[in-house]
Amino acid sequence: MTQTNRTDQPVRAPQGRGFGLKEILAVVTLGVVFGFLYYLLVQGWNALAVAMGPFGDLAQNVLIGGWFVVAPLALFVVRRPGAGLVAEIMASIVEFVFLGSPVGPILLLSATVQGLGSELGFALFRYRRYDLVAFLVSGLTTAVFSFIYSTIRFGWLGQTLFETRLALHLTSGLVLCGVLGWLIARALLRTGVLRDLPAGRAAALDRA
Amino acid sequence: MPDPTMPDPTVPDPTVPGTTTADPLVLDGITVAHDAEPVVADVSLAVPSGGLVALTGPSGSGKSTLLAVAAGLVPHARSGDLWGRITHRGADVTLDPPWERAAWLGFLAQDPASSLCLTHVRDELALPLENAGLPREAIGPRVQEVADRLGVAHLLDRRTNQLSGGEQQRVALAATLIGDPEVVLLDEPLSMLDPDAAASVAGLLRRELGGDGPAAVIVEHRARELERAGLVPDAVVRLGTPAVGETDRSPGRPGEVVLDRELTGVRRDAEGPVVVDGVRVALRAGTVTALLGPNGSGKTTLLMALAGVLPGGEAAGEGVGMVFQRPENQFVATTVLGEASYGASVELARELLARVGLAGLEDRNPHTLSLGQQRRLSVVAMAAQDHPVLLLDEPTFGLDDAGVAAVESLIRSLRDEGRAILFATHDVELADRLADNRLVLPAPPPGEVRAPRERVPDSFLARCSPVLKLAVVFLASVGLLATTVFWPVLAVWLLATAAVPVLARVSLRRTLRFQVPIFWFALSTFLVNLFSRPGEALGGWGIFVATEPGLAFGLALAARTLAIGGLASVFVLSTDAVWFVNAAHSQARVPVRYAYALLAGYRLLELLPDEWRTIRAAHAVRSRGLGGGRVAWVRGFARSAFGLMVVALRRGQQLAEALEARGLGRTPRTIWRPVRWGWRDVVLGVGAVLLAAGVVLGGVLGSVS
Repeated sequence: MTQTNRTDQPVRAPQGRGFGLKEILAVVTLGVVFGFLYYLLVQGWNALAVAMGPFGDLAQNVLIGGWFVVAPLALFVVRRPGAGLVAEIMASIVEFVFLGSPVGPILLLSATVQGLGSELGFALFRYRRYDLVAFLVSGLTTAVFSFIYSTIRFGWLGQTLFETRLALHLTSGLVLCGVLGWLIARALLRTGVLRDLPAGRAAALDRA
Repeated sequence: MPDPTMPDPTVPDPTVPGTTTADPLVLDGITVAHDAEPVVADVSLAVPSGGLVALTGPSGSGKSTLLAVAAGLVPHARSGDLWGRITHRGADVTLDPPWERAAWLGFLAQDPASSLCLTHVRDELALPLENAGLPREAIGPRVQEVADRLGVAHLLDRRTNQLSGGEQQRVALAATLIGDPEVVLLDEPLSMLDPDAAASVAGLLRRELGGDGPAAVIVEHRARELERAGLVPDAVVRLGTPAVGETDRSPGRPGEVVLDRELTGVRRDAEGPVVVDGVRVALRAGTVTALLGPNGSGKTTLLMALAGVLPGGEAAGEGVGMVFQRPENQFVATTVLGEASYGASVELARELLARVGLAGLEDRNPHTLSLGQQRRLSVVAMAAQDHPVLLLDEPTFGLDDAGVAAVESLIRSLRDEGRAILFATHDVELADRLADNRLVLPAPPPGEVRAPRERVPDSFLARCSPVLKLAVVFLASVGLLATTVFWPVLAVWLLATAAVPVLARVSLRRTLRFQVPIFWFALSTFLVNLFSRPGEALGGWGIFVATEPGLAFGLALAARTLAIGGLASVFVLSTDAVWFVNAAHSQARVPVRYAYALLAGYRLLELLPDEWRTIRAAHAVRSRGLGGGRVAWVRGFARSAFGLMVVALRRGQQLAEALEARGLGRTPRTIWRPVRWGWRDVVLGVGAVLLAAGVVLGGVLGSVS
């Protein structure tokens, strides 16, 4: 193909304020897909809990990172402050309204806490970095927020397992949310499916 | 009534030669480029009132892009640099976003499944009218009138995921036409339909378009079927240079029989209906067989049964390769070469890629190829694995003439290598040109599609505002986090669980079954606390020592888990998903974009189980004979999950575009059937407050005594 020889400026769409429908729906789509995959994987959760015997309760600390990977992914795709919080809340609605999760409406609270945690990670970089480092930091801040919340909700304080839980929880945030989230984000970008979303546009700018 | 702001329609438009200010759509000097590569170069066209313009050209010549420009998707929703000007009756609308253009423009994208955005047909048709701000009382009659006219009245109460391909396209057309647009843009409205459905949709288009009806720009490869229905364009705009199709019609040289099976009682999944029954398939090496039959007759299921990817039939697929309908469902690698050499030799893969014109693209990500390239890649990737039998599901689906010719010659060359080929298609002419034999399946009986979750029965709670229920359950659950007492909290669980059969009319059995995960969780909470809190020992087994504080905390925290779960069942078992989102929009003022993103997300969720089964089966065919084990299973699952994410993200964006093309975002908008507050909400609110007071009082009295 030949290069365009136009030198005049192309038509620019006026930038709207707030999230566009396409961006919100991309975030909802992530929530829907992860909600569906979690639904398939819940069996895995139960199997791990049984395999761990009386310490099966710790399974949640091991797997927790996987439950909040949707927030950094949404921030990566949409690149706007607030996307992580919106994604978590949308994902929780998918879980307890659409898929009928027995955990119920309290998921809204977990989602809000986790969403704020993810936002903090990216906010530390002023929403300018979307690389592995940002994912790791976000995974860690989310894990910290989520740990504080879960400690209150499940009464973890005062258990002898407290330190073990903390270590597992933070590691899970780093690995499942940080590393895995970043790998998914990178792979998605390479498929071209994000081309018309802010992540794809940013990548096109980098190439130019 | 004459609009004083409008230019006089009879005056020639001085800015665009050869057009008048009366033309409802004029594209003037349109150029679109991606990464500085032009996709459309300086195209102009004018659509007069009631005129029909056909847009032709090979794939990649920019037909769909030009429609996207006219619809406002470029530059508002899709990336790409745009030059040029779009006018509507003389007014420059280049900067108008799609939802503003919806006031005079209708747009129908290629895939009907992705242009239906909501779960119910009636809501789908009402949506453009709500977006246009039509008075509420006018919407119902208008929906009925258009549904009658377009022959979809009998579908109004159906769910969109229960429609056949032809029905989907009719409903999508009705939703495109219901707002009385002056121009409609149709991107291959027949391409996904079987011959009968295509003829009926083409007849519909002839009646609706042109004359007094809307003007239209149509992209369609099946021009002959449009002409047969009497739809003759007033003008044809050709983009790019036409490709010459291949005319080789040599027959195959039949060898020995390599597959001979009788298929009886074949189901898509274990609980589903029988789809294929009493069909014998015998294939000889070196021959091509066409599999024909209307939408839904079980062609794909038959192929999947032969490929051994239906539950219980895994042993059958030895030596059989299958190429699925949508190539992206089957990709397992991140590069073209990796895909073609997956489970095959790299040299052979390179040679095959060169033969089908994919040389030079080895390092590209398969998902970034054009549909035609993806299709050829998925066929050679399967061919490289050396199966004597190859099954192809709709191998020319969505391709233009040049793309079809490329796939045809690929199929012939595989046949000449001595493979037995069976391909499913709607294209009778393709079958005539290519097939040595035919297998025709009969039309299906009407079927049922299962919903992702059980229906919500009508009841007191089901008729309460979902927003209020959410608030009550949420606040009560959060309040429970502040307690560490046992009995009052256990009472909350008992009350909540008892409320479900009485107030939501869900059986106690189903309520308890729903709570099973909660029971497990409560039990493990109890045990963990019992054994992991330092304090006065009550007894022990080895390293597990139960303590006094462990028992107290364990009971209290387990009761809290139960109570939150009980409250959850009150909400979840009595709340319909669509009604919840409608209430969030009309009662809690959740902005329209968020509400409809959720509704489209719900529709997407209904499509996922099928997509997932297809992707899993498609990957199973690709990975056969490559070794099993737990690691392979995890890798396979991860690959499929990623594939699902890509497919869903693409569909999600298509749904967003369809919603905006229907005018979502225009103001002011009407809510046709708002969820209103009623006496039940007062009862629920007062009851909840009284109950909460009772529980708190009980807790206080309990702790005092």
